[in-house]
Amino acid sequence: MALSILELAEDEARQRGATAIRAIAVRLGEMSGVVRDALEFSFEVARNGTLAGAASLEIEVVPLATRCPACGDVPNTLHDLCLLCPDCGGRVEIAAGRELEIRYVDLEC
Amino acid sequence: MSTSNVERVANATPVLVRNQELAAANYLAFEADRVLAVNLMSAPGAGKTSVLEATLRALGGKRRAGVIEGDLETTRDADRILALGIPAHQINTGTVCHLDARMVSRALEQFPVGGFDVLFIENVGNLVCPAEFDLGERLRVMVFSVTEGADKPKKYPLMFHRSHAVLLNKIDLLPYCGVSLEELTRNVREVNPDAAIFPVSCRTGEGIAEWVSWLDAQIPGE
Repeated sequence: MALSILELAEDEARQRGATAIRAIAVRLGEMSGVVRDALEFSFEVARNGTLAGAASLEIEVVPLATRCPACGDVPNTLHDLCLLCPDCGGRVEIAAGRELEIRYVDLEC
Repeated sequence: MSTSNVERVANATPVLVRNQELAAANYLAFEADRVLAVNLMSAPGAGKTSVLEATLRALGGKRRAGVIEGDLETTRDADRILALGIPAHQINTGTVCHLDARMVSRALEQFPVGGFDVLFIENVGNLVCPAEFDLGERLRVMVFSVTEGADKPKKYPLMFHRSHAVLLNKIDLLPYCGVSLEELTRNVREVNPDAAIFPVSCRTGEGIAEWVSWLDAQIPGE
């Protein structure tokens, strides 16, 4: 994941003729499958030798949010995920928390 | 005047966009070849290869099947499949704990799948990472052994959540491991209300016919 983030940021930097990457901001859903600490650690290792060698990684964690199409918001936690609506028994959708995306890259030009 | 300018490029790009693009290309290639691609995932030792062997036997001469095997090392799994007379191709990922779309794309260059009705892609044994990397499959099928415990769907929800079918394997061991099949099934259902769930035993053959009948119905017609 860290390598994918760096690859995309470096592509952006090269396309714009940047000399360095100052910061990379990512949105990380609670249910993205990626753990914040692990990503921070691997980013620190993987950034060496890239244009992001001194870049910071800014992580915005997006909390899990689930919603029943019929009954509205359903409280949920990742520790006890239940996608069956407690009121009507219908399927509950994941409205937020699956994000794994780059928000922005700060480039030195 | 500062000597350097900082330019912010906002883009909202999915981190796995490259993998998604390659997975989409694989998907289109499978569709064009009319082959049902199945991404088979599980923890190590849950019985993916045994399920695959039982499935291939049950499909028998009726369907032409091929297998891509993913493991860190060895060709043991591909050898087991080849021993059944089924074409198989082994990917060794080295240290990588999952298959990705690029590895599958490269495998397809050496292992043409156009003659198959169904292609099984057996992922690296891992209950976490494979769930994140689409390969271009139409079906994600998870093998879970009941001996892993009834709480695992809650502890590792993502793979269960993303699977079209979940096989609960090794049900012959239920009397010995104190796991409730009802509780396990309920937990799978709670993280994935839509999954098809098949309790099976590769040892006794129980449930294999039901699973294979479901799978067979997903294979595109002539």
